[in-house]
Amino acid sequence: MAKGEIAIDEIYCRGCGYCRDFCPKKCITLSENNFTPQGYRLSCFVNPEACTACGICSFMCPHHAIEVYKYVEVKTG
Amino acid sequence: MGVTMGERLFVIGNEALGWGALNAGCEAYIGYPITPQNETTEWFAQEFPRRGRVFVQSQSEVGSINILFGAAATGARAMTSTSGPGWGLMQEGMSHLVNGELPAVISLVQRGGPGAGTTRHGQMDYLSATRGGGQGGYKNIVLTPASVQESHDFVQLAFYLADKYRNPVIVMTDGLLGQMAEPLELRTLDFGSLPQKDWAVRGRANQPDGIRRAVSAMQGLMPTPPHPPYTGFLDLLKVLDEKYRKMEESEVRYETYLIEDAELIIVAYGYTARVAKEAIKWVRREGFKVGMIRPLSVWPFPYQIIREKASYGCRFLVVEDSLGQLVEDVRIGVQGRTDVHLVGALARHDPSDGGMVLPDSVLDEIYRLMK
Repeated sequence: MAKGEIAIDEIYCRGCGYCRDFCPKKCITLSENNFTPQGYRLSCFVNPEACTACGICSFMCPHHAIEVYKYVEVKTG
Repeated sequence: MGVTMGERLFVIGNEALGWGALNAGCEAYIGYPITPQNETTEWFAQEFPRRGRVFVQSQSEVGSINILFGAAATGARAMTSTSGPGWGLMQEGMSHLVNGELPAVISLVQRGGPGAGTTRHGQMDYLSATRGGGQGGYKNIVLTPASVQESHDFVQLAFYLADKYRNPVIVMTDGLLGQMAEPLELRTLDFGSLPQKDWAVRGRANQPDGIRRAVSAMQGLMPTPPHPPYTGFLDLLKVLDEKYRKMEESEVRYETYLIEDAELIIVAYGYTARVAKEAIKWVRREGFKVGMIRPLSVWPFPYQIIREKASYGCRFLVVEDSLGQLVEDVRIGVQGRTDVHLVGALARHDPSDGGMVLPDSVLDEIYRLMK
C-alpha cells in the first residue's frame, strides 16, 4: 500500500534526473518518449506502490517541480 | 620529512596534532592560522600536499568549518584547528555538523579571552567547548591532552570517536601545550572496528545501490534518506539524545594521581594539571594528603568519581587558567557535599598575558586549606 504520491510539474521539470538518483525506493525514471514542453526528458513516477512520501525528490529538485502528498489515515463513523 | 612508525621526534604540541592526524589517516585539513595554533596550520601546509593529501587555507574560520562540513560529508577524515576568536566564528558550523551528524575533528588551542583577548595561553573556552557553544544545545566529546604525546594520541582517538558516533569531537589544548616542545613517539593506535560510512556523499557511481546520498544541515526537517530516514524533527532529537546518553555512559575518561588516601583532591586539565602535579609532589613530602583527578574528557565529565570522593568528605581544589569554568562542573559533581576552591587566572605568577599559574600559587592555596 502506497504511503503517498508525488506530482511532477512538467512546466518546471528540466529532466536533470536528481529525483531519480536520490529516490531510495527507485520510484522515478526519466521517460524515453515523453518530453516536457521545453523538450527535456520528463521524469515519471513509475512505482507508486513503493513510495513512502519521504520527500527527498522534492527536497533535491533544483527547479521545485515536485510536490509530495502524504496519505493520512482518517477514522470515520 | 620521511618518518617511520616508532620514530621519536622532538616537536611542539601544535605539530604533534598534525602528526596525530596523519597517523589517524586524516585526508584533509582546512584551517586558518591564528596565534597560538599557527604551527598546526603551517605543519599541514608543509606536510599534507607532499603526501597527496588536501590542505586548504580558507578565507576565515567560518569558511574552515563549512568546508569541513563538506569534507566530512564525503566520508573522508577531515579536521580543522583554531583558537580564540576563530573558535567563536566556528560555533554555528559546529552546530550544523551535529545536525548533519557528520564526524569531524576540531582542535582548539585555547588562548586568553574574552574577545581578541591575548595571543598567549589560557584555558578560557572550557564552558563554550563543553556546553555546545553554538545554537541549539548540541553536545560533543571534548578531549584534553596535557602533553605533546597525548596531543598526538588524542587526535587519533578523536577521529575514532567522531566516526563511532557521527559527531564532531574537540581536542582542546592550550597555548602553552601548543608551543611546548617534548619528545614524541610516532605510533598508530587501534581502537577497534567502525561501521561502514554508507551515508557518505560519494557520487552515484560509487554507491553500491546506485542511489545518491544527501547530507543536510536541516536533518530532521528535511528528508535525508536512506540513512537515517528521519520522518520529522523529533526523530532527529531522539537519535541525538540516544547518542549523547551512549557517550555519557561509555566515553568518560580520567586519570587519578594519589587519590586513595587524599583529603584534598585537585581537579585540573591541560597544562595546569602538570602544574598541580608538581605541587602535589612537593606537599606529599611534607605529609599533606593531596591527590589529583585529571579529566581526559571534559565532556562527558567524570562526575561519578568526584561524587564518590565528595561523599567520603574529600575537599576539592580546582586549578585552571581562567576565572572559573571547570570549577562549575566540579561543583555539579560534589553536589554541595563539601567545599570547592579555585586557583584561577588571577593567581598567575606575573600579572600579564605571559604569566602562568605556577606550583607556588597552588602550594599557597594547599597550605591555606590544610593548615
